[in-house]
Formats: sequence, structure tokens, C-alpha cells
Amino acid sequence: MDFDFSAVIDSWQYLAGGLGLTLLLSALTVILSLICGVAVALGRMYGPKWLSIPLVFYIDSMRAIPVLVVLVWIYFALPLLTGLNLPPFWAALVALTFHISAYVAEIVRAGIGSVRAGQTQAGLVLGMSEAQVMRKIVLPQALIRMLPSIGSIISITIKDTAIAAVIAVPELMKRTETVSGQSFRPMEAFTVAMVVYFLILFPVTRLIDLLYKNIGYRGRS
Amino acid sequence: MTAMAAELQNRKNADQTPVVEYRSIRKLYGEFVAIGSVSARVNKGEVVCLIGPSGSGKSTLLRTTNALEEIQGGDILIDGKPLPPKKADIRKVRQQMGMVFQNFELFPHKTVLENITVGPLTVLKVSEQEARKRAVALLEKVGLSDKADKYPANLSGGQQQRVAIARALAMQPDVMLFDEPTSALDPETIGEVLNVMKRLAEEGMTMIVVTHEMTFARRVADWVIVFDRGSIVEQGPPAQIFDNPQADRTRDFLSHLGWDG
Repeated sequence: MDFDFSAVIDSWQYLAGGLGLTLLLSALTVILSLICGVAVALGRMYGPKWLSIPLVFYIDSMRAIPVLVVLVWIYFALPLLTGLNLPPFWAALVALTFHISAYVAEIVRAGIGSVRAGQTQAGLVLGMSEAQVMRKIVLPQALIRMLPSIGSIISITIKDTAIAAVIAVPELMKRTETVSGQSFRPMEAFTVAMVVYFLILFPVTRLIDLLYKNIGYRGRS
Repeated sequence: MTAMAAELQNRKNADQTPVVEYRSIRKLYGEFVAIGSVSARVNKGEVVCLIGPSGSGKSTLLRTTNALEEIQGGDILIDGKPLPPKKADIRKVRQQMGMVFQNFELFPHKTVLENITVGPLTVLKVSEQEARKRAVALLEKVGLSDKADKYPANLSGGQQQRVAIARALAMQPDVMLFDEPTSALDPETIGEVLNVMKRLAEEGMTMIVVTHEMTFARRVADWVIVFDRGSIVEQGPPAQIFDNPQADRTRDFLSHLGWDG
């Protein structure tokens, strides 16, 4: 078998553009999922009963449904049902965020639960309100404790963006498919994609581990 | 003269409204009676030590003072006014009471300085500059000026507890509550914490101290309350409690600790 990377190399700008979109989609998904995940966890833990029942249902269903199914449903079924027609990138962002937020919510819930009650009391006896205690004392510690899990979420998110290819979001995976199809060099094209994903993800997980090693003590009371 | 009248005459600032007054306090955990019917008072400028066996209810009583524990019966009067029922009003009362915990409970994600400024900044809304000035002065008072930028994890237990005292004092409270402040400490760091507390007492701070440090209670307390099984078995000046206890159970408790004056 002969190797010929010339087609892939000639298309590097096209593929780099795809990588850029992969990173943009990943970054937006992670940020939105963190915000939504914290909101869902707080709503479930401290919100009214009528709110916690649908939130638990939402979390359980996201854990039971493949992210690909959620994505395809939002892109193809939602418009028929509601008339809401999202462009591919936005459909992918919504689907991934909707899916990942459920996992983040569970991590946040565990993180908050692991901060011991004495910390809350120490905030309360200073005269803080419960909301102030959550914002200034409990949540920051919980977030530090959650760092290793957040690291996993970030890498899963970056990997999951590849499924956006099925709704033709021109990210790395979609563009690799295009290069592969036009050059008849699938082995080279997909090998390059695999290596690029690895080179992005490996340092990200390592960096988060390193960060946790260095500041983890700030979450331990 | 009745015992009550003698108590009123002999105690510091007995003619003024007590800073804290417990009237027939009852505290239940389900069926279990943690505190039976306890009445006691703490006058302005007094150091009152609560002593007694573990599980006798003394920490629970302390924690009812700032409503960390709810009571099922009786009244707690702060400066003559009952503890308010509304959460927002309880926060006001808590601002006037510093509390120091057995396990320090410093905020691990904040530096020593930030631990001390977070209360005044968040609750009292003082300026950054003012909060910092106060914190620096308090760190000097507890002998930890060089630790301002360290995180709690980098301090010894005794140092952490001194920071916790500074954090409570930053709110400029009228009364300080200490919940077994030296019980989690290594023996060699207990002294530095007790010294800070002793100096605070000498400055006239009203203090309620749950403690197993009998030497501290003997030397620093103005009034000692002995707990057993959820009720007060005896209260009086330290000279009475330690040298001439009236109740058998006080004698038992002190002899178990090997107290010989």
C-alpha cells in the first residue's frame, strides 16, 4: 500500500478552517453547558418541587438518549414540529449544549454536595444570605473540586462535535470527509483527522490535571 | 439572700440587660431531648465557659444562640430582644455575633486576607480599602501579619484557628461564640489560640466558650456553667466550680478529667 498525503496537505487551509469551527463549537458548548449545568443543578437542589421533577426527567433522558439522536432530532424533527428552523451550526450548538448540560448538572450537584456543611455555617454566621453563601463560598469550592470531571466533559465535548458532520456543519470531521471523497485518499485523510483530534485533546486533559494538581487544595476544607 | 439574688450581685454588669439570655430552652432531635429546660444569662463583658461531658448539650446550646440550631421551646433574648423569626432579621443578629468553630472552617479558596475581608465586604458593604485595613490590623493582633497572602492549607491548625478568630472579629461583633476552639488542635498549638482568646477577654469582649480546657476556664472565665445530659447541673464563678463544687456530677466530671486544681 502506498501513502500519498499530498491531497491532504494541499487542502490544509480548508481543513484548518474546519478545525477552527470545531474549536469554536467546542468552546461555546463548554461555556454554555457550564452555565446551564450550574443552573439546572441549583434548580434541582434548591428550586421548588414542581421544577425539580422536570429537571430530573431532563437529566435522566439525556443520559438515556444518544447525543446523535438528539442532534438529528433537533435538526430534522424540531422544524417540522415547531417551525423553528435552526442553521446547522446552531442546531449542533443547541443539541450538544442540551446533552452536555445534563452531565454537567450531575457533576455540579455532586460537587456542591461534597462541600461540608460547616462551610455553609461559617458563611451564615458572618451574616451572609443563603444565596451569598452559595455564590461566594460553596460554588467556588465545588468548581475547584469538579475540575477533573470538567476536564472529562471538555474532552467529551470536543470529541462529540464530530457528529455535527452528519448535519453538514463544516467542521473538521465534515471537511475531512470532503477531502477524502474528492481525493480518494480516505486512509490519509482520516488518519490526519485522528492525529489532529489527539493533538488537541491530549494537552487539554493534561493541562487540566496539572491545574488541579496546583490549585486542588483550594477546594479542600 | 436567695441564690438568684447572689448571682445577680456577684456577676459583672449584673445590673444591665444581659447580652444573651436563655429562658427555659428546649431542643429536641426527634424523640431525643438534647436540651431539657435550660436557663442562663451572659452579661456584658463576661467570659462564660460551658463545660461538661461530650454530648451533654453545651455545643447545641451555643449553636442555638445564633439560630444555627432551632429550638422547640423557650426564648433566647439578645440584648433583651427575642431572636427574630424572619431569616433576614436573624442575619442582622448574626452580624453582631462572631463564631469560631472546632474545625476552623476557613474558606480554602480564599487567602488569609480574603477570609477576613469577605464578611465586611459582602455583608457590611464596607469599602475594599477599609476591609483591608481592618484585616491587616486583626492579623497583627493574632500575630499572623506575614501570612496574609497564604492559603489556609499552608497554615498549621493553630494558625488557622487564629485566622478564624480574626475573621469573626472583622465583623466587629458584640459577643464571640467559641465552639470547642482547641479540640481539633495539636497540643503544641493549643496555647497560641488560648492566648489570643485570653487577650480578647482582657479587652472586655463578651465571650461564650464551649471548652474542655479546664485551666483556661479556671483562669479566664467569669462564670462557668456545667452541663450534663442536656441540663445545667451547676453554675457559678470558677472558684466555686473548680475548688468547691456543689453538685456531685460536677465533682464526678472534674475528677474524670483528672482535675486537681
